[in-house]
Amino acid sequence: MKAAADVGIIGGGIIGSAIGYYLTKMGLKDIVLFEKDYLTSGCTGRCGGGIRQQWSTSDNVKLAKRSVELFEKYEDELDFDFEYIQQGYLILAFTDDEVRDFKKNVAMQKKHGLKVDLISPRQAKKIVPFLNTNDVLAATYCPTDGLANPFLTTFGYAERASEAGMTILRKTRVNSIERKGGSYRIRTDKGDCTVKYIVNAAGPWAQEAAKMIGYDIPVEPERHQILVTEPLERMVGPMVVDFYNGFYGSQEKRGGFVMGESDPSEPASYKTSSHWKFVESISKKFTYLFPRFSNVKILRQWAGSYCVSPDAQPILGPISADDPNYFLAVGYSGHGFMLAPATGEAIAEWIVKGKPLTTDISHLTMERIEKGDFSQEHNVV
Amino acid sequence: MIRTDVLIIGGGPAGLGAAIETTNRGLKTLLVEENPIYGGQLIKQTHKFFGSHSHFAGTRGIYIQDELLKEIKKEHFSMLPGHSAVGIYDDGVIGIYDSEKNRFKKVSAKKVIVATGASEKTIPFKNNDLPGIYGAGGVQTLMNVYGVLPGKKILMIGAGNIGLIVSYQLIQAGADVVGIVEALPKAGGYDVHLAKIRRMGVPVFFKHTIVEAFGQDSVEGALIVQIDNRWKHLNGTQMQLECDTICLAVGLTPSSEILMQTGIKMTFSPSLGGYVPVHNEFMQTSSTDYFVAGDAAGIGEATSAIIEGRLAGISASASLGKEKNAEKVYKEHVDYIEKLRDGNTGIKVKKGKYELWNKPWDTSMETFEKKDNTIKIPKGRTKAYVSIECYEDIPCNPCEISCHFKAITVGPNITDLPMLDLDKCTGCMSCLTQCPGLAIFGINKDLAPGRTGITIPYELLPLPEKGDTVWGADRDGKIICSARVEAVRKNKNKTHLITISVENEYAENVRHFYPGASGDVLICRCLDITADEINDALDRGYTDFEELKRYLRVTTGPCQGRGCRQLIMNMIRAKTGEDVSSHSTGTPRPPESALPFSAFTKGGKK
Amino acid sequence: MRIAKHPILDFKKQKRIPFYYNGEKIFGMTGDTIASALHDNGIMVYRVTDKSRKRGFFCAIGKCSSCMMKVDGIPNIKTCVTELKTGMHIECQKGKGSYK
Ligand SMILES: Cc1cc2nc3c(=O)[nH]c(=O)nc-3n(C[C@H](O)[C@H](O)[C@H](O)COP(=O)(O)OP(=O)(O)OC[C@H]3O[C@@H](n4cnc5c(N)ncnc54)[C@H](O)[C@@H]3O)c2cc1C
Ligand SMILES: Cc1cc2nc3c(=O)[nH]c(=O)nc-3n(C[C@H](O)[C@H](O)[C@H](O)COP(=O)(O)OP(=O)(O)OC[C@H]3O[C@@H](n4cnc5c(N)ncnc54)[C@H](O)[C@@H]3O)c2cc1C
Ligand code: SF4
Ligand code: SF4
Ligand code: FES
Repeated sequence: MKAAADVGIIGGGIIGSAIGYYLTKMGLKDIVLFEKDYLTSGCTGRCGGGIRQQWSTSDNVKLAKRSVELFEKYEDELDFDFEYIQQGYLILAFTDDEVRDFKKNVAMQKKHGLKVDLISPRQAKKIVPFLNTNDVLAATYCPTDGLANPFLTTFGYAERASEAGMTILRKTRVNSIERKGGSYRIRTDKGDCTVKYIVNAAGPWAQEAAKMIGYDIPVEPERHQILVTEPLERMVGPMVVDFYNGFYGSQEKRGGFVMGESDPSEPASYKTSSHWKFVESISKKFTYLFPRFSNVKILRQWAGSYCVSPDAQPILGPISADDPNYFLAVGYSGHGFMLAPATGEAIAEWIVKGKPLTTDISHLTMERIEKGDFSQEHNVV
Repeated sequence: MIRTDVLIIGGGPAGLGAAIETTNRGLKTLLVEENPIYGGQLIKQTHKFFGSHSHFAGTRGIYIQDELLKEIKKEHFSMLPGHSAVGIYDDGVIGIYDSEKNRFKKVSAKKVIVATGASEKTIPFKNNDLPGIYGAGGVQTLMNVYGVLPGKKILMIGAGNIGLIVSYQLIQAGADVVGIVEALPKAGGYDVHLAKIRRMGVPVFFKHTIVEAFGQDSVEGALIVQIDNRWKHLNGTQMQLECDTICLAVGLTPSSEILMQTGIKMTFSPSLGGYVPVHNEFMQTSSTDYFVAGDAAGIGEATSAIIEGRLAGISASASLGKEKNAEKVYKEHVDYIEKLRDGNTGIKVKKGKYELWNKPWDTSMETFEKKDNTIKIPKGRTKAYVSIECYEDIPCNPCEISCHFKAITVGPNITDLPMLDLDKCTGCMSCLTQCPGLAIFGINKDLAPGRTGITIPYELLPLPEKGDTVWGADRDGKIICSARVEAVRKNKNKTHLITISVENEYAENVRHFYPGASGDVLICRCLDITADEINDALDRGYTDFEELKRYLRVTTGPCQGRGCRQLIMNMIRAKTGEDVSSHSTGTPRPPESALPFSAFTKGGKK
Repeated sequence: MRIAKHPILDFKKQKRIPFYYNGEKIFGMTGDTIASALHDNGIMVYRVTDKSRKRGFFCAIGKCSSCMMKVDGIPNIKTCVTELKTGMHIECQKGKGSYK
């Protein structure tokens, strides 16, 4: 193991890999990425791959929009077919309250330059011909939202970053961290490495990695279940979201329908086992929305842990003023894949150039949480 | 929710055996069987069984299940044919699927006995996915259950018991078996089965192998080739056989994916045919809630499957307080099963089970017909040495002469067998190049952690290169694992020395290798992924099983990796040289087989 | 190719039932699976994969997914374990299958 490096990244998920990629792109190459198992072994390896810009907070809209600008260039930039498709997100409203909220959101999103519209059930049916729109009152649609394959995106970042010099240590768990003068000594079973900067991109395990230098950060792991069907010819373009019932589903590029739901009764835990209640409940939701597909066959169900923050927005930047070189990139609350490009770029800028330049993430630091001054993101499944 | 004391998954001999024991102890027992008919493999076995008379010997397989059903106490028993177990969820609930009604149902059971049998292996050769190439089980099902002949002219691959029996059954059903191809110089199956086929005029191509299947839409023929006892394809012996069906009888592998969902301990055992749940002598897995029996616990035969089933039934009953004298009851069955496994074919299973139970194994228990020039290798021996596999009293002694360290003695009587003095052997390998029988192999247990180097005298072209991935084959020429070429030492006398490394568990069996699989060799049938694509991914660095799975999606098709997981793990091992036991092999997730949403909705109301 | 006479097995007399393969009317027997009925009619290619490889059945016990076809408009049906019913419409499946 290298005895010293400029940056040590904890976590080989989409976030750790994205940050590593942007650091090398900005010229910082002496980086070690620590991954306790294999790349994508955490939340990223369970992810649904949705990329959406239609959020209820300005910060999430900005980050997602910047991410889409970056995703659009990745096929060439990363030289990787990461199965990106831009066929939009269709978000359904079933109640008057939802219609009212959606109107507000669309107005805010438009202010940020997003191409998004409130549309009628008839228009929705045109976009997704197989959709049951009987009880739908309205919908919002943004055509530049889309889907991609999170595993392949992670591999793309990792391949390019390691070509540029980043060292990836698989099966290497960070056990503890020691302060050493202005640096940190990262201890693993396979040896130690002293670094100037640490990035905590440990996903659901972020809290453990923060405890290693004595901080208790307000994030929690939470199981989310998901399933995939047999691959079929593509018949549904956009991701369809139904906040009312807590459902999202899309047809990935290779043809399988991928779908999940939110379960408000799910307690905090690292559990990633599967439950029959999930498949029963989601089958009802899916066949209600898509009666034509009731004979589509479920191939496999699985689960992963979200890393949930109090306001469902990521926590970015230094962990505290006392440890300005220990960076957090955590608490993505179920939308870390789609925010990886913009936040990866921002954290890398912060380390290399002293502050984030491209996207303003000043509202997303630990400070907001300490002060209790934050706006809740509502559009979460 | 259906509630029961004991749930048995699988209605073959093992499952039925288990039900006899649990129902006779008054336990409410539910048996689910995915087929509409009971009996598992038995329903296809039209031949008479071997074994002891008290255990159905002489009875045709197809009648045994009826005998077993008679012994089950009906008042405590219910069966659901046409129901497959599709998932064991985190709260212990077992999901079952009624294929007739298209309904998902839930079962809550105190104890679960898994007796799901086996699935068939395939082998890599060109166009091995062409229609008309069928597994032996598939052929049997089609002809003995549905009464449809798979074809008119059949080429059988493999002369083990299954290959021989199915050939005989094909002839009985009116097909023409154009030949049996067997890499070995003799049949692996019983002589009597062979004799039966032979006297019906079926040619058996010993020392042959299949290279390619050809045909437009389906099989029109096969290319086979003779191999010499050094496994070399002999030039000019290529033969095209006209046939419309190729039947693969190349072995079975345990099928217990559903147990993997529970997180119980699994282990890989070549002697038992693949991944099996770790279990004790009384068929309990690493969890006191789950038991396993029959082929799912290691490939064996029907009689021992019945007894293992009975043992599992007794264990499950004992753990529910319904059998106080378990130790005594076990004994009769354990003794019988031990005896069953003393034969030439059973011994492999016995060995695998002993390894599982950490019972000492003495190689003298392996009843090979060989004279005893074997030597015991002390456990701690790491220095390289040689394995002299020359058991026939032939007049020959170059090995003795070639050894500068006087480690090999044949003695004045040159038909005596060569004896090795392990203490003197330095592992220089010069004897390998001199033995005209190519019967000496170098063994180096210290090559890399978890891996053994095997040095093979090699006289074929092309020579492999260091770092190549190749298939490791056993003494029968059957591919059993992947291997990596570690060294290539060329020799003037053209007997070159190739050192390959394999995982320790294969070291005793690998004595040959074939060039790595490539081209149109399908590894993952579901997603059409070839050996070449996997090798490319491995070259790009995706050598962790889970990363490879996400990169290529191998094993994520509808078969849940049944067909390819083992092959892929072997390819990774070979590529990296690492012990991959720490790699996750991928957790099979419910459902076991693809199910429609409509099975879960009961009417589809919101 | 039905087995007419068997030295050990008695196949019960079955009724002929009509069904459609790629629109053409052919016959199977009661008790057949779709795969066994097609095979009896000499049809061996059940689907063509995305990479243009032709596939028939392989394991015949519902484990390998080699035999998937479009049955009554529903793609990816394992025909080796699906019972043949009168009037079924069976199609050779191209690629992944679709509900369109
Ligand atoms: C079911 C499901 C569906 C989802 N769908 C979407 C979606 O549609 N769109 C979207 O944008 N997001 C989605 N997400 C969320 C998204 O997957 C996550 O936000 C994102 O993957 C987080 O990435 P990460 O790199 O922060 O975390 P992870 O992928 O969890 O990576 C953290 C890594 O750190 C490693 N690690 C932890 N501790 C240590 C240590 N001490 N030493 C070394 N290594 C360590 C872990 O092994 C892990 O690999 C979904 C999540 C789930 C569970
Ligand atoms: C060609 C051939 C010839 C043989 N000849 C002999 C012989 O002469 N003598 C001899 O002793 N042995 C012979 N055997 C071996 C013997 O048939 C098997 O060892 C024995 O059948 C194993 O019994 P089992 O109960 O473990 O598995 P099986 O008989 O395979 O039964 C398993 C059952 O479980 C069911 N099942 C699987 N998964 C599920 C699920 N998820 N849900 C519900 N049900 C499920 C299957 O449908 C099957 O019916 C032969 C085997 C073959 C293939
Ligand atoms: S390896 Fe060398 S020392 Fe050992 S027996 Fe052979 S020739 Fe003798
Ligand atoms: S030279 Fe080879 S074949 Fe001859 S006795 Fe020695 S080991 Fe046996
Ligand atoms: S042939 Fe294997 S699933 Fe039908």
